[in-house]
Formats: sequence, C-alpha cells, structure tokens
Amino acid sequence: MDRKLALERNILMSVEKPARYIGNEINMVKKDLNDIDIRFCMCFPDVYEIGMSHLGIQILYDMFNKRDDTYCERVYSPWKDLDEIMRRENIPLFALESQQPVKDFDFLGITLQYEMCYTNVLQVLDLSQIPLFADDRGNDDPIVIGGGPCSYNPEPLAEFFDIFYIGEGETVYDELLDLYKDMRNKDYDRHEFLRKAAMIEGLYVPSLYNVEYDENGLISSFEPVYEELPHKIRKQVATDLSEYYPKNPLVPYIKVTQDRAVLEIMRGCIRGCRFCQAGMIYRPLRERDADYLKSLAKDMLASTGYEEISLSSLSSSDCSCIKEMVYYLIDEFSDKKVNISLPSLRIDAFSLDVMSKVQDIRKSSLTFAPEAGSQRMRDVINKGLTEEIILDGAMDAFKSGWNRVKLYFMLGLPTETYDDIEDIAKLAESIAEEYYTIPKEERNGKVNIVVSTSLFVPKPFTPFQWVSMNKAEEFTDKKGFLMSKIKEQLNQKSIKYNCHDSEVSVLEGVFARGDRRCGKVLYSAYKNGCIFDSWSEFFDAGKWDKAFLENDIDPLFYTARERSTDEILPWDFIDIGVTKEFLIREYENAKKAVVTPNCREKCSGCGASSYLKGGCRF
Amino acid sequence: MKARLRFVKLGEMQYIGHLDLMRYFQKLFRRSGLDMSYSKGFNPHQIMSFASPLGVGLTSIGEYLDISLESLGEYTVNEWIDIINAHSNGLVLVTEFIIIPEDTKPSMSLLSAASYRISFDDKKSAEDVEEFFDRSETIIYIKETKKSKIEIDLKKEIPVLSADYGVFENTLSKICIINNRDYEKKYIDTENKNCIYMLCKAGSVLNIKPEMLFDVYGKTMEYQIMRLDMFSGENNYVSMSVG
Ligand code: SF4
Repeated sequence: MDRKLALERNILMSVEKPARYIGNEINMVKKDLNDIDIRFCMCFPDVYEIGMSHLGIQILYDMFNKRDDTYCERVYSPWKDLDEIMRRENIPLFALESQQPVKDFDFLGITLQYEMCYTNVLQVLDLSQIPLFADDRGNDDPIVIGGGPCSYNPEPLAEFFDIFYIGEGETVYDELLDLYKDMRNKDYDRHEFLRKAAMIEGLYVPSLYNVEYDENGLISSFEPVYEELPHKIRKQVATDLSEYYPKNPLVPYIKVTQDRAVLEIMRGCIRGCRFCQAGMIYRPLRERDADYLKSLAKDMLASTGYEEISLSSLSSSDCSCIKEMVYYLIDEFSDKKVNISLPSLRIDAFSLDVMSKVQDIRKSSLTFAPEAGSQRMRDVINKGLTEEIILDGAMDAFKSGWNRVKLYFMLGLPTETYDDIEDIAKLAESIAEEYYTIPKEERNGKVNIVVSTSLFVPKPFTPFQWVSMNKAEEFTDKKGFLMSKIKEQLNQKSIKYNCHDSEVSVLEGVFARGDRRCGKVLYSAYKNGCIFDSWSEFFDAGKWDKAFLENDIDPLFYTARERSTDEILPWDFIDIGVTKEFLIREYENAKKAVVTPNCREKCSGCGASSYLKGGCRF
Repeated sequence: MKARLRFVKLGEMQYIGHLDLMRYFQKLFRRSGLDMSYSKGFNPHQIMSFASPLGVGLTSIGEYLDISLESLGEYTVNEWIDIINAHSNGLVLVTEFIIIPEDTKPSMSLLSAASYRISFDDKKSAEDVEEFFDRSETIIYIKETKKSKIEIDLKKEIPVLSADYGVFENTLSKICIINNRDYEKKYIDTENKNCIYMLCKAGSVLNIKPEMLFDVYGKTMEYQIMRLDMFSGENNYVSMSVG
C-alpha cells in the first residue's frame, strides 16, 4: 500500500484499463533500490496486453533479476488515451515495478518483434524524455539497447539506438552489465563505454560504423570507425536452454493475449521454408529436455494458478519429445482442470487424437498452413506439404467430427502466377468436396472453410532476401482475383475469405529490408503523428506517404527492387551462422522449384552447426 | 460443500474491474491449492458468485463471495484464510471463511443494502453533501435504461447518511443487527472529518450507488468511495458477516 503510483487517481480513472499502468502483478519482482547497482528497464513497444504475452521478456526478466546487483523492471507503450495526457501534462514514462521514470534507469532494452512497432519505439523514448537520437544522449541518459528478430536488420533504427544485441539474450548480457558497473564506478564516459561494449561478441554499436553509398544509392562500404572493432557481428545462440526459464512468470490482472503459462519446448526449426526468417535466424535447432520441461510445467502452474498451458515452438510436431510432453500434460493436469493448448501441430493421427482429448471438436477448427495453392509454388517456398497430405488429414478429421477448417496462404510469393492463386480457391473447394463425400447421416452439419491470405514480405537472412516484393496495387489485384475465383467454386458458400491490408505490408517491406536512410522517414512519420501502426484503427497511410515525400525516399527502392546477389545488403555485417552461400543456393533451388530436405532428413550444410560442439545432431 | 468468504479489496486493486477480480480469485484459489468445484463441460470453470460487483475506482472492506468446494482437505477454514492470503498480493485479503448449508440462498439474492464511506479532499465538501441531503425533501435521480426512464427518490433509498461516523454508527445500529465494527476500526480512520457515511438500499432490481447522489447534487468534486459492508433482510438489516 505504501507504493506510490506514478499516475494520479483522476488520470487512472479517466483512461481505458488503468490496470495496464499499476504493475504489482502476481510474481512481480520487488527489490530494494538501495541494494541495486544497475537498473534495467525492459520494454515491449506495444500495448500492455500484447507486451505481457511475450515470452522473451519474461525469460530476460527472470535472468536479469537473478543478479543481485540488478533490478529489471518493465514498461509498455501507453495507449493513445494516456499518451495524450502524458504529453499534455509532461509526465515522464515510468516503469511498472517502481513506478519511477524510465529516464533515471541505466539501461532501456527494447524488444523489436515486428517492424510496425517502430513508431512506438520513438513514442517510448519521447514519453520517457530520452533524446530520440542516440547522438544527443549524455552520460545521464539510459543506454538504449534493441534486440529481438527485427534487430537482424537494425539499420532503419540505427540512429535511435546505442546498442543492438544480435541474437539470444541469454549469452553476453552479464558481460555487458559487468562492464557497465565497472566503468560507472570510475569516470564514466558514455562514448568510452559504447566503444568497449562494441568489443563484446554479438553487440553492435551503430554509431561506430560508417555507411557509404554509390551514385545509384546502393551501399558501397560499411566500415567500423575504429580499427579494433569487428567487421562482422556474430549472432548469439544459447546452447544450454536449461539455465534460465521463468518458473514463476508474471500473472497480469487483466486479460492479455497470451493468458496462459507458456512452455518453450525448443528453439529453431528443421524445415527451412524459404520465406521464413525465424526458420533461419533461430538455427540451429535446440530442444529442451523432457524432464526439465515437465518440472517447469509443474512449477509454472503452481506459481501462477493459470488454468491453461501451451507448448510453444516454431513447429511443435518436429520436437522429438512432443508426444511424451503432450501425453504427460494430459495425464498429469487434466483432472486438475488445466486446458492444454497446442499451436503449430501438423494434422496427423497423433494430433487428431490429442485434439479430440483436449478440445471440443464441434467448436475447434483444423488449421493448415499450405502457404501456397499450387504444388509448384509450394516447392518454390520449400513447404513440404502436399495436397494429398492436406486432403487425407482433413478427411480423417471430418470423420472424427470436425467441420471447420482454417487455411493460411501467402500472396505475392516469388514467381507466383495467377494460376497459382487460382489453385488456392481450388484447394479450398477440394477440401469442401472431400467433406461432402461423407454420407449425410455421418456428417456434422455444413463444412466451414476460412481462407486467409497474408502478403509476402521478403525478409533479411532468407533465401528470398533479394527478391522483388509486390506493390500495393498488385496485392489488391491478387486479392480481388482470388475473391472472384472463390466465388466461382461450387461450394463457395462454405468458403470465407480474409485478407491483410496491402499498405501495412508494403511499409513492413520497406523497414524489413531498409537501410539507415529509412530512419528519417520513420522520424517524420512519428512527427506527423503515426503511432500504433499495427493497429488498423490508428494506421494512417497518408501520413506515411507524406513522410516518404518529405525525405525524398522512394519506398519501391526497398520493396519492389530486385537485388543482385553481390549487392552489399544493409544487414550483411551480421553473421547468423547460416552462410550467404547457403542462402544463394536456396534462392537458386527456389527458382528451379527444387525442394531441399529438412535437417532431420539430411543436413544441407547451412553453416549454423558452427554453434554446436560436435555439430547438429538428430 | 458451499462456503461464503468475506474479503477486502484495497488500494490500487480499485483499478481492477469485476471480471478481472473474478479471474484473480480463480488463479488465487488454484495457487493456494483449494479444492474448488468446477462446472461440467469442455471449459470447466470454478463455481463462484459475488454478492455484488464492485465498480472500478472503488475499494472495499466488506465484499462477499460464495464458492463451491469439493473438500477442505487437511486444513481448517482459518488455516485456509492464511494460506489464501499468503498467495495473494496483500491488497485482496480474505477475512472470513464460513461453511454454509447447501440450501443457503446465494448472497447475491440476499443482498438488500450496502454501507459506504465517501472521502473528499476537504471537510467542507463532506458537510455540504450532508447538508444537501438533510435539507432536501426528495432527491430525484433519473435512471435511464434503453427502454425507459425511472425516477428514484434517493431520500427513500438512502436510509442513513451522516458526515459523523458516530452518528452513522448509532443510527445504523437501530435498524441493523450489526456484529462487526472491527473492520471499520481496523481499516479506516473514523476520526477523519472529510468523509460521509451512508447506507444505500441494494438488490438485483434496484441497486443504489453513492454516485447517484453526487449526480443529483451536481457539483463536480473529487471523491473516493469505499464499500464498508453488505446486508440482507428487509427492515432489520443483517450484516452478511453474520452468515
Ligand atoms: S547445419 Fe545442417 S542440420 Fe544444422 S541447421 Fe544447418 S542444414 Fe540443418
């Protein structure tokens, strides 16, 4: 009760969901500031309910707070209503634990999970009253660190961050904090600190690297300003996944997106889908030990009181302990009324058996992610799912009583033709027809198929990092075409079609493969009032168009332009283990629609095994 | 078996709404290991019901919650109070835990009145409101629903109102069977002169909230409401604490 909240009662009472700002959730770490040397504030630059659902922050929160000299707290983007009040009343953004201003911290670590949160990064800095540009920060300002998947191309954000941590947080943060503590005790100089930090493996200090461009606007050189600095930044990979895991994760008061205990069963993926960045940057595959996972599950449920647990990974079906874990959870916790949620399971006999045990078949749906409609297109993207597998899986499920199917596809994949798109409609139709081969008495009413398309955005460190991305008009045409094709199908009444917004995807495309010059656009867009761009109610394409014009930057240079494989890419200075040679080889295979086997079938020598003593083993 | 719990909801927990509080209790009971009864079906949930939802912005030292239990296990109800509170956040605390007969009506349907304390920034506001209440013959509040407008005379629906805790307690004791002043002694400063105390009629048909009075009064002012207790019975109110 003696903890004073940063916001006055009248403010809290005037905003939506005041519980976003009060902290004190169950399992929140409390420390006496007098015993603390380093104050670290972790930020997820989106609204509380999204940020609180993110596992990575919970792992780092646990890791940092294991250090006696460090207190790690949290901050999220204030929602628009509070944002306006804080600006008007000049209230500095505060951390949830101590309710004290973020600007008084030693570090502000911001996780970058998607490009559309970039204006929120500026919002957080701005509301914290920390200078937006790293160059303007002094000794008393926090060191601003970025991490997460978007830091694999940090260049559009280069001017706003002091450091980027490339890779998994479990490895060199201790080294960084020790260095800081050591230097802070003496004559601290921010620049000196950053220069030393840049020598730690995996840390990239953008201000210490110079980029030059040629007359065509392509990068001509990318060099460190001091001789001792590394030319390549090596991605960090945690090889021991049993060191840090939150046994007592935070339990929010309000309903958040991921309102359950989450158990990360493995990292990495064996599949090698060519559009998927996560599949490349999280290589090599590392699995957690089943016994360790079981004890974590027990501890987490006991400490949180959650009534649901979910297993998380990029492709759970590929985890060698998946069956053991799922049946363990069912046996151990079903009578304790714990729901088990199983995302990313491939449809097969095992998953159907499990799903029929843990879900209400009439209410749940089957999910397939063929990503492309035609077999040729699926071979191009290396998605080893065939029509036969889908139809057989669907049929098995229909016979067991399911009648809802969700299908996920992408539009705008490299080499895509309108025939490939039409095949999406045909595949949905085939599934519907399959359903109606079941005698009427045995069916469970009508079949219900939902087709969703996202728009393909080429990402760094994928075999498609060089390709041309579709323009907004092309996407719009393709969506219209697919809609018309779905309408032509016999069972069109059973097929519903959802699609993503083209403009947001194009913007995502700019920042995904952007360079330092894109930072200006971001800054202008923020100054024009852009914020919460991933929320359709706030996204304002007009303001972004204006920002590009103001800075004389053509978004198509970043999206639609096909790169040559010898161009220096903005993210080439990062070494993720997976080699460029491998990516080029995969790019060539894609063009020929040649499938590459997954890591369990056959190693393709991608280079990521360099992280593991003795290489990848299956 | 059925049980009725009394609990307090203090400080910053005022920002947690009713549905979130319900979810809070579900997790709290699970952490505590209390053997709750669950509903049937694919999404079983703990069987619990509150006497009356508490709005966001209100604190309380007299909330009631009915629950269904499979068993008490190896602990007594008093031990359970300690176990539950050890798993809570210090601001939601169970203060009573009574096993009630299976055929007891839910506290929600028994509720007939609730007492409140409203604190202001200064003494004058408290006195002004009291004066307004005392001087008015009728205080008409218009309750608008989608279909209709009803006029409510708050003068009739608020049987007791006073800026003086002693007077309030005295008046209340004439129409109430009260057994539990301890909460008020423990949690509030009864000497504080910036407050008014009131008893409002409550129930599922007509639920009188202190805010209604301020609505009619008209002047904008800052105030904080704390619910003190809840009662059943018609003319002789009985604190739900009595069970
Ligand atoms: S080295 Fe081979 S097995 Fe290991 S991740 Fe790369 S392709 Fe897969």
